[in-house]
Amino acid sequence: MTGQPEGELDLIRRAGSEASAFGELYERHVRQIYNYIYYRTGNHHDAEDLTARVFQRALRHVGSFEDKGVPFSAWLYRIAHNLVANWHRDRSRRPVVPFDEHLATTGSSAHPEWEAMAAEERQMLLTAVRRLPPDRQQLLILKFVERLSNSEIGEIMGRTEGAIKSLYHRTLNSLREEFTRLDAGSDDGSGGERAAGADE
Amino acid sequence: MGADSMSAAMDRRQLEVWLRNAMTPVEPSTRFIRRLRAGMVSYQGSGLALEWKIIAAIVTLILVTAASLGLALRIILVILGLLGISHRRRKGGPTSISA
Repeated sequence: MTGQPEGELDLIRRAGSEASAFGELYERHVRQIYNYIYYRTGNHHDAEDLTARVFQRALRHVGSFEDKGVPFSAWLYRIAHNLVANWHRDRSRRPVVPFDEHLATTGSSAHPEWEAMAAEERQMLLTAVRRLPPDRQQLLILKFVERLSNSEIGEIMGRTEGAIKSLYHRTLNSLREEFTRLDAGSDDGSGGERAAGADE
Repeated sequence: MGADSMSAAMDRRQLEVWLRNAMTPVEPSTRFIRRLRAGMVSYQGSGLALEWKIIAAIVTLILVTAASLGLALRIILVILGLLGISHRRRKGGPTSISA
């Protein structure tokens, strides 16, 4: 019984000694891990640094990987989770790093003022996401960035599909509260302007 | 619609739409992808070579030690044999049992 996609288990077995096998695994998963770390840290520089560390650690330990029916990506996510947790601990005294500007500039350029408002909302929403507990952040990243189903998310997070549904429901509630709190905190006259972007 | 009312009116579906729009996949730079892959391949290559070098050095050391030990034992036995022969010659040949 294995939770690995076609041919992946063979690659994992060979990855400890064959550079090409590990390279193939790397190509398959690097973007997922990068996205996860990017949405957890909020900037490309740290996402690159931590992604590199995830794969270096994976390379060192892939020989001891045991197939227990859990996808290889779950193993990588766990490494990434630990490294991101260390990163947050090291930076706990520093203020929250805002998301890179590129997220704020996506969209049509026909109405730059709408774009700016939408970008501000997006920034606030992502800040609210980053204030959630790590498992809830992971759930949102897997659901909205990776577009995975609840059962796939359950496999990666080691929970049942029902537990994921329940966690998702609680996550949306917490996110709404967090967003409202952020919105109230920043309601210094610019809130009315942002409202126009809400119907985007 | 003000910001407060916007937040209050935000329902689950709206929140999901916002998340879908905000949380889009980001693409790491191709330079980063290539550089990291190249770095890992060279790391893995050098790591393996070093491992094999260590194993080869240990095996060589064991073989050389065993060979040296064997040679030393043979030399000691030859020396002892020669000493025994010379000792018997000095005594005038093999001792007789008869009176």
